[in-house]
Amino acid sequence: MTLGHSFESVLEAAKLGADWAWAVLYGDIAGPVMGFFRSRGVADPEEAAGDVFFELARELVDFEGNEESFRTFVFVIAYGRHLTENRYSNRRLRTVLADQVLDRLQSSSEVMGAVPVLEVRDEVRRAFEILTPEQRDVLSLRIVAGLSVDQVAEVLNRGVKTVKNLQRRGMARVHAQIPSEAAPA
Amino acid sequence: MRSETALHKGMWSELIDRDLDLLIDGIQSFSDDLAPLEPFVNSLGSLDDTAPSAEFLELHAAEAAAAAQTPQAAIAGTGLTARRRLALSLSRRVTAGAASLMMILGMTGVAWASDSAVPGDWNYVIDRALEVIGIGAGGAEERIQELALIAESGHPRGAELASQTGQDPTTAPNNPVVVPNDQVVGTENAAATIADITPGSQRANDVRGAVSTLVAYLSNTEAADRPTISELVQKFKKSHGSSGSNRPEVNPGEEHRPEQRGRPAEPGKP
Repeated sequence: MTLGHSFESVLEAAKLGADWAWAVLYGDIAGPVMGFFRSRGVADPEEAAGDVFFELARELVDFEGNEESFRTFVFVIAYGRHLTENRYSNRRLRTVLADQVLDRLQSSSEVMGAVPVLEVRDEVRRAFEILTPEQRDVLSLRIVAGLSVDQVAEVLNRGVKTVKNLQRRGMARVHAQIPSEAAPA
Repeated sequence: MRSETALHKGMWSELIDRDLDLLIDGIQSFSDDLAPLEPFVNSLGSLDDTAPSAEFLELHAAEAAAAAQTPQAAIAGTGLTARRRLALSLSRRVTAGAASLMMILGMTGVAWASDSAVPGDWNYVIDRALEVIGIGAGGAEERIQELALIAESGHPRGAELASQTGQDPTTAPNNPVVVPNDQVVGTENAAATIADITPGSQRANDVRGAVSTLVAYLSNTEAADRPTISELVQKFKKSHGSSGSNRPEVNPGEEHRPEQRGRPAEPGKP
């Protein structure tokens, strides 16, 4: 979902501290932000998203740009929050998908009828586990956050070509974990 | 299957990038070779489906709004965390903000109700919305002063409550200021009308954006320095043109900030 033409006025009002504007921004982007944290195994995605918006509120006054650059801006903060948690948390970094992720994977495969439920669940989990952290970052930002390759490159402070390589290699690894006989005809 | 075997052998070339982008972006024209990846992409992509709860939205939106209004220096230097300090001051900010909103709605309702904006003007939606509000003509300056006093008292309902109970306002809780009951009700109706405009719509955002800008302008302007209503409206309209963009003006006199598309300071770092 995007705000389109109303983005500018919402942004200006948010800069002035209007609750309603923050509610609009939140409603628009909180889902992808929390989804990003879920996909990266963050223990409390809502709390992490709250931290992101708090930081965003402090930084927003210096932001100028369109809606696309705003989303990039938000995920720069979200990614920083993710790195901070990894760096300073005493918790062991979770390298598997959260249970709720697996539940979704299960229900999705049931609907699609592509492969047996448990097989997809295990295969996808295994596939995500074997990805490098950089590949997980790229795939999470591309697929869950819905960012373009260029936006991901800006969030990760990497080159576009590097992001494409990480995306390709990550998807190749996932693909390799899916048995060929399980693929739909 | 053009290259399924090749893919399973790890023979991924840069040629596959385009198809990967199509798959990830949800465009159905990607290569059949990538079909086995579709459940994975769909499942991972569905992680953003969970909409935040209304309670979550309200709490964090208010917190973010308060943070946006708080100078960095004001939240530094004590033992409490910034978020905790903001939480402690949030209710006061919300109260003051509500009173300010009522104040500006009262003013703009009178000012713009007689305006001649036409469909297509950037402020036409504001004119129409404020006509709907129907605050009534006359007494705008007085209302501004009264509502400013209410805002300063930190108790926007205090005056009305005091008038209903017969309590001496000078000894009432929060020392509320007495104002005529109908004006309190009128401005509250105005706020309710704005709130009833479909949230998220273009019209609502335009109206709210402009009102918020004016609220901020008034809050940053000493009463003695405030222009009259007609001056303010003319100034505001002149800065936007009669059919200019939807973008509300930033506070008059505020420095223009150069465009920044760079990275913000990394969160968590001191």
